[in-house]
Amino acid sequence: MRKSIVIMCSALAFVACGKSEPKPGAPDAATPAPAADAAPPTPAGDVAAPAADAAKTPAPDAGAAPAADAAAAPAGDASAGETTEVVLWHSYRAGELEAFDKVVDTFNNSQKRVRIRSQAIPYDPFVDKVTITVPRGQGPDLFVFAHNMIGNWVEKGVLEPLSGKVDGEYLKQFLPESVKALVYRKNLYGLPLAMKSLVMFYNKKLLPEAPTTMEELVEKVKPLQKPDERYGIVYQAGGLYFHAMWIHAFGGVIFDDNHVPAFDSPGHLAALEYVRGLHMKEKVLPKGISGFMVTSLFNEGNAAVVFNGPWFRAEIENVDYGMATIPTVQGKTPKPMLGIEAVFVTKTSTKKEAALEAALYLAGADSARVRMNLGKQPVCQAAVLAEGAAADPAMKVFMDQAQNAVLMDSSPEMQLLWTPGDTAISAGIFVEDRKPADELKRAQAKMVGDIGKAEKPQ
Amino acid sequence: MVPESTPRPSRRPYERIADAVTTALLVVAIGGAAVGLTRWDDARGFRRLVETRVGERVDALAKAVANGAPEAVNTLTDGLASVHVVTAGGTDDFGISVGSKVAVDKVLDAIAKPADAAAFAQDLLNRSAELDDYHAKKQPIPADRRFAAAELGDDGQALFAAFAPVVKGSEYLGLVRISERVTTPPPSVPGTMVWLGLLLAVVFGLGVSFLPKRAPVSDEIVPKRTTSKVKQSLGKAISRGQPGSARPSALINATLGRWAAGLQKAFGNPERLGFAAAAGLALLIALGPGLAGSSTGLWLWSSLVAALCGFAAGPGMASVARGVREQPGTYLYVFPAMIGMIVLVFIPFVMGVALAFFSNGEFTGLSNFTEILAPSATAHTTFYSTTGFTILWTLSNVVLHVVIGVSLALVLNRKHLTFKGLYRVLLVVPWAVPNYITALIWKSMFNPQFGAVNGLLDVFGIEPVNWLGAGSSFASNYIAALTTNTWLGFPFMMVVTLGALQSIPTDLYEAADIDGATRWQKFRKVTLPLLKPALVPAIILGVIWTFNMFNVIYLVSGGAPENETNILVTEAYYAFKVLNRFGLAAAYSLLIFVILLLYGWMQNRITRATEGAFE
Amino acid sequence: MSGESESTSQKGTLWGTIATHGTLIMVTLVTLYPLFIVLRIALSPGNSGASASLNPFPKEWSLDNFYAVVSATNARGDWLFGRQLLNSVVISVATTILGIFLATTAAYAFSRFRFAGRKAGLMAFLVSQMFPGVLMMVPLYLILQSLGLLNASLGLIIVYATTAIPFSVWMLKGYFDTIPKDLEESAIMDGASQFTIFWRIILPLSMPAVAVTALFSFMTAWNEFVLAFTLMEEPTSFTLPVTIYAYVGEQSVEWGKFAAASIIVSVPVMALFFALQKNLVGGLTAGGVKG
Repeated sequence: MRKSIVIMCSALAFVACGKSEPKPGAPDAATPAPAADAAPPTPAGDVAAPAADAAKTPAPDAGAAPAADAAAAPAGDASAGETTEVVLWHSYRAGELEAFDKVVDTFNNSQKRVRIRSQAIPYDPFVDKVTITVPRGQGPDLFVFAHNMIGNWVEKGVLEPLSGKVDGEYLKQFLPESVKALVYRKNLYGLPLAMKSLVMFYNKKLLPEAPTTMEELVEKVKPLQKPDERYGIVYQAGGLYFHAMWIHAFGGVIFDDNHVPAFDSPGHLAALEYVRGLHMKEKVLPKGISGFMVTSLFNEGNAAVVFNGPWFRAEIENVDYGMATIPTVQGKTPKPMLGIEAVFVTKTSTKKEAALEAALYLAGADSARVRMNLGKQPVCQAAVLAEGAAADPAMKVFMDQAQNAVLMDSSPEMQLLWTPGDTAISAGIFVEDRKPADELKRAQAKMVGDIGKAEKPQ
Repeated sequence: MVPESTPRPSRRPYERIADAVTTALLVVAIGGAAVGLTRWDDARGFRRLVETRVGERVDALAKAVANGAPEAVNTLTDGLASVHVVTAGGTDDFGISVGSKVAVDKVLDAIAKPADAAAFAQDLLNRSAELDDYHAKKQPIPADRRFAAAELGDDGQALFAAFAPVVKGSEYLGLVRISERVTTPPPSVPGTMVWLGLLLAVVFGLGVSFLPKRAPVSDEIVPKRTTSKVKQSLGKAISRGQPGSARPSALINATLGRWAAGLQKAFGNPERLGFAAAAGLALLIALGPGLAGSSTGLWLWSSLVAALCGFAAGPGMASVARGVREQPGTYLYVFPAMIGMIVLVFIPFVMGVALAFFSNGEFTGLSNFTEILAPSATAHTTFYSTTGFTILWTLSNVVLHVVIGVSLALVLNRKHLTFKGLYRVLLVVPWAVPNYITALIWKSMFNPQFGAVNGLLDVFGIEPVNWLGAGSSFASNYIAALTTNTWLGFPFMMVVTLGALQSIPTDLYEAADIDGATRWQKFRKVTLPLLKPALVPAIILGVIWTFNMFNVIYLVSGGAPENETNILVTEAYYAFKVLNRFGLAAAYSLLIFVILLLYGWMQNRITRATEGAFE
Repeated sequence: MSGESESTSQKGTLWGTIATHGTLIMVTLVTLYPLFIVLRIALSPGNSGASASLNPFPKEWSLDNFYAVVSATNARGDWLFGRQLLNSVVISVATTILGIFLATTAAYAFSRFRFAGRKAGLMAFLVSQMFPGVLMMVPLYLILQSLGLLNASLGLIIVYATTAIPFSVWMLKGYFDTIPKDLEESAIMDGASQFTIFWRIILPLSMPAVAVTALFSFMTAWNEFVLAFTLMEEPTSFTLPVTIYAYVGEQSVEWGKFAAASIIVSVPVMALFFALQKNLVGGLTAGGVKG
């Protein structure tokens, strides 16, 4: 009893006498991190505890604060004569890896100022690892990844703005769309390396010539089909990423001008009904196709036409195949989503100058040539790509398709659209008793609701 | 077990010292927490104040710049540490902002002059581009884009910077940035409300502690099941002590006595009871005004939660301290494991729990919880349906695990079974392989077009079922996930049962045989009761693991259709990863924990398994 | 002595034996079927094994995938697989040793001694299992960062050992409870110290339970992927399960190598299971029957 009173009084006394100088900075709320990320195919998991990730920068962006906190501190750069080593993370495999390693080696051997130490990190949890380590001062100096996470990353303080450090002239050597992809809030955040979009692959044995319109395509593949064995058009039709080309063809948009999802619109409905027709009426599009099925069916010769991206080339075996841009539908041009793979400099790197120099080389023409020829990447260097297109018809297809491709949105809100979008599209195309219009309405409601619930970029 | 509530003999000197040290530590902890929180809150309040003041100034300056009024500009820039104006030149072909004129106009303070003018100018330009973006989208500029602060020296001075867009009509012209020297004031003293609340808490605590003390009813004297009888006998004892037991005061006294006795039994210590009640009341007071983010409420709330925990744990901690003094060797055995648990498990848990009361870095009290638990006009809550499903999921899984595991163990337990060892090892394999791999395999087996399950159904001439993916039903997704988790979970139960079966003496069965018992009777009367002590802890663990089984739900059904097969832990993950709402995810986790805690407590009372294991 | 089934009078029935074995074989096949699929994928050349067929045997047999996984190197030519295997082994073995040490000492104290905080401690171990792991990663990261244990195997070892403790302590304590106290009493009378009793008498008698603890600690450390991946910087410091995820790409999974890596990761655990299986059965009797 007495002891408790003593505690109480001491606590009060303590508080009353407490005195010190508080800092006018915002408090550092420890932020937790969630489990491993899920790209549509396969996420990670663990027996004891699912992984965690994503942190928010605690302090306000003091990037432009006065001298006490010098802007873009170039501290840590070696003086002339010493080699600065910068750490680079990427998730390349196979052919692309070979090409990339060669580029890095060439760079390291060509000069002694900067040395790149590149590390291959598995793709699936890449985002998580970057998001959790970089804001805390750990992590790499630069990294290579797709552009669609830029919004998220800038808000979390992961990326260093490059505008002003990169010459305007330098940027002119890239395809304009690829640079635009890396601009967020009017600042440049990365340098483009390669681009990806869907194109049409066709089995030359079944279809000697590439059709130029979908109507022609449908007519030609119908007689080639064998029930439960061979199919006409094989692709992951239920995914928003793959479906986007039809959405854009029929005039729909993912986000409207106010940056609100616009799924409940005539363009979307028309696109969904068209593909539904392909499945239900024309019966040229099978259901339940996963990425792996696409590859195996095509390789077995049981798929006449496949819509897939540049990564698919490495998976094709023993098939005489051709590539072409996606055929027009009802006179309209399908525009698939364009993804740009870029090299980014991290905000918490202590060797930003060196990292930038490395990045400039990696995005440069010499590197592009190696990556294109050896790694079969459609590069963003316009001149190099044109060279490649002249020599390799496959490159030409990618180059042409890129003219008719729409950049994937890189805002944080985009990440909330994938799951509801996938659900609505798969249901709208493949399920008999679901109506596309209802599905789109439902997806729209969920997307808007989730965006409302999500953390606003602060 | 010595009940702590029996009156102690007069305390020995080192007990008093130990208690004093514990008290001192508690005071330091609570006081420190209170002071820290007060300072943090003060800093926050002060920052808001400065932001408003400087914000207004920079807005006025931006207007003056836009209107081209030099005298106004001069007046407004008086006393500022630095002023910079940047005019944006629009964007180039790529959408990157370019500046037409970067004027480092008025730099009044040498310290504020940037070391690298070009880099500084570029940063201003970058900042201008961002603000322009907000302007174009007609969005308000968030605080951390508008303000920045940096410390200058040790005398509590800081440089506070603010940005404002220069807008003429609807045309975005550029950016104004000012910085001002700011001296932080000393922290405030807690207000009268805090004192009042604490006073009330003390008074109430004292009052409760002076309730008529009943002999504490320890479990050794009275078994738990006879609670009502205890009450009756207590009531009789009370009324026996007073003539005319029907008098109102006697009834009140009786009721109070029963209530106090019950609570005392629950807490086992009148002291603890008193202060827990006091802290609870104070908590209620704090909840009222405090939780919308006012500083007083925050201070009161958090320090009283600390007090609640402190006082609830205080006597316990004191006796632990005493114990360490008396038998250090014992604690040495436990110490390494406990240290690891405290640092790497409990502290992260507490941090996580604390986070549930924050949103976006701001203290928002119970708002995360109300969002989850209370449906509002605009957002319906899925918490209850998800919890319902999670319970269904857990029950069905554990039942299946136990039934299959026990049956297999019984079969495997036959004396002359050949290959017994081989079967045992093979049947345990699902537990050995990492579950994220097997979950993916099962998902592919349930693929409606090409999976093995439909292939098997086809062999028997049954229609293929749309298990997973587009258009699949709740039932099919549920069955797919259930099958996968059952496959993963039965080996554990099987092995536990096998072990327990081994230690059942054969003579019991022989005796039952002699009595002519059937197989089923033998199982029910001999096997099952003797399995219980081993099975029950396994079941508790199984329930906990299944309740939080993230991998299977996430990888197999992904919550489809329409989030109907989501369990609570996948909802928390969704809040975390997709919505970026850490506070909300923390709130979910806390709720999960509370539910499981309640389950553990109930299970404990029902089966007294832990009693058996503890004895 | 150990109890056997009630059907001692039926041990000679042919039908009974056939029924028993029949059931067991069926259940075993169902249980093992998914793993056959994984094996099939791993043993087929390239990714061809990941087809939809029900057949658990590969159409073509090939060890290419295993070879590719084992010989993976990084840009500098370091043998990745070898290093990662070494990391996994070192970390898992260290976790096992540490886990056994921590769990047995704590469980012994909980079982044999009476001290303040005993019941609370045991409940705390149980309760700690109830925390959903979703929330723990960043606080854990921050704590490890402040302790300077990031990017260090030691950090991982300590975290894994701590994760494995609760289950092990509960189980070990139950087992210790079944060891009669008179053994110790006579040893005390002979002048043995508490520690000697623990080390020389109790531990050897509890080998089954210790074996289960070892297995569980080993499994926790060996199979864990997320923490290892997040904490470690260099691919050469990763542990083996991370290798599995190296084969999951942005749009495509290299199923053949994924399966091969999965098999390789699972084999040591299964081998350990097999080696310890006799102990496994006896050891999981938490709070088992006395006498």
